[in-house]
Amino acid sequence: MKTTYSCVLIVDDDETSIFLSERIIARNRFAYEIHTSFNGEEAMNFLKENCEQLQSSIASCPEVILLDINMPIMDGFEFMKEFNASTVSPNSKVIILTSSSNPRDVEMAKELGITGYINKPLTDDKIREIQDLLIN
Amino acid sequence: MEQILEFFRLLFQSDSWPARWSCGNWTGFHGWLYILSSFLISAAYLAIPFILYSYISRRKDTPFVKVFWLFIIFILSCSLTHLLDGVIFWIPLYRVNALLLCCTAIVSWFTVFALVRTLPQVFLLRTPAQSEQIIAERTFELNQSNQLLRKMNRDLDNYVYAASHDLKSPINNLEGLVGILLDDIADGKVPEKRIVDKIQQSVVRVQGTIKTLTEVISLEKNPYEDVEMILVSDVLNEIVFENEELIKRYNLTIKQEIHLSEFEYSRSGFKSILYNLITNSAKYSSPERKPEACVRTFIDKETGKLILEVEDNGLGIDLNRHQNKLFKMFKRLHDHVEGSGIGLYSIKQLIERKGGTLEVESQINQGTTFRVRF
Repeated sequence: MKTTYSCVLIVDDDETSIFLSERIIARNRFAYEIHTSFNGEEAMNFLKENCEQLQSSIASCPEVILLDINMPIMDGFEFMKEFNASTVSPNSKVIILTSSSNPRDVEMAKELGITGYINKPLTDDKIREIQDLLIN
Repeated sequence: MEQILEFFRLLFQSDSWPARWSCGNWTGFHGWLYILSSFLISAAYLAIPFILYSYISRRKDTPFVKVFWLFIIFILSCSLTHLLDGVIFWIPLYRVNALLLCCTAIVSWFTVFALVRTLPQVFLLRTPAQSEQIIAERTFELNQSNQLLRKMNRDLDNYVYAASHDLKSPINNLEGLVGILLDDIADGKVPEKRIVDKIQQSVVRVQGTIKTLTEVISLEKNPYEDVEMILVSDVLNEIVFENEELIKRYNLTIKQEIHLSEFEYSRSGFKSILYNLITNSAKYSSPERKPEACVRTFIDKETGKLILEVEDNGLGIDLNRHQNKLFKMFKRLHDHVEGSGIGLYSIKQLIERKGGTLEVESQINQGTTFRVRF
């Protein structure tokens, strides 16, 4: 069972939340490389820069995107719409990592075809949950 | 008196007069025309009270029941007078006839008085068409308040989720940070200072969110209690004075084009609206030019309503992209700016609750105009 991924992109506007997620990811050896973007637009630019050429051969093209919903400039759902419409990184899997428990957000996330919906904070158990989701 | 006593004593005696047939020169046709007509009238007059009675006995909510009863007695008496008028052709009960006529006369006049007294109220009764119109109007009003309630319910839902999200975020962070701290202590390490700093920042954030939420609740609870004549420039000066530091920091110049200097509105409501629009002009000012905001009040010639405009030369908003997010709670469109993302949401609620509207016009990198129609 694959438990370690080459690259993870954390998209979140909350620095403390990013700091915590990085720690948990490192502690669980979930990814060799961790990148961060502070909103959907930055994340989209990151993907364009790192995934467009020879996609999977580039280590910095994230296999997993941990995506927050509430962010300025471009929120998580707007990012998902743009991401789905583009062919920039078709192999990246998106896991929503948010503090929102609004059922409408969960519904919307499902509609946008995400791989999983996890509530913050990220913990060791939740990393295992994400690993299961990514395999299934 | 003697005549009256005699009248009642001999009430049913019929031998004082000849029967009508024998009195005068009745032909058969004339006599039977009279008799049959009288009996038919009497029968019809007898039927009407029964119909009326069956109506009022079935409909317990019949209005003016007393008038109905008077009609029943009145028409019944009329029926009896016509019946007796026919019977007199054979049995000349003229005393009974006189008494019956007298009773009918009395009942008739009671009915007249009752009618005169009741008629104005009868006219107040609604026709089915009027009732339907009233029902339609009430249904429309009910639908409107129903829609308003649904909207308020949706707003409340959004409020609860948005509030819980903004409270949960720093608390989730706290949970994670404390976890790290406990792990470090268990491993015998000295806790990192930046972890403690982040814990402190998260606590401040929780406090900030609670403060903002409390402000929103108190604004939404009784936003229109302090309605008074307000001087626009007074409120503006107050805001400038209270936010001197922020305005200086952004080097914002505020111009005034006050064409309507005073009007009646909630002072705290107006202040909150103007405060949010002016501080937004400062916070979202462009670094490329000297920040300016113009506060304008005037009367809309078409609607006669007061308009407040706050125009700035700031960053502008991409309305094609952000129009539907602009007035949502906790939404911030820029990430470099301080703020809870609650200002525009709460003033829009405030304005709309009083029947006004909040509009926005904007050009990216040229500026934004917020227009309040009160």
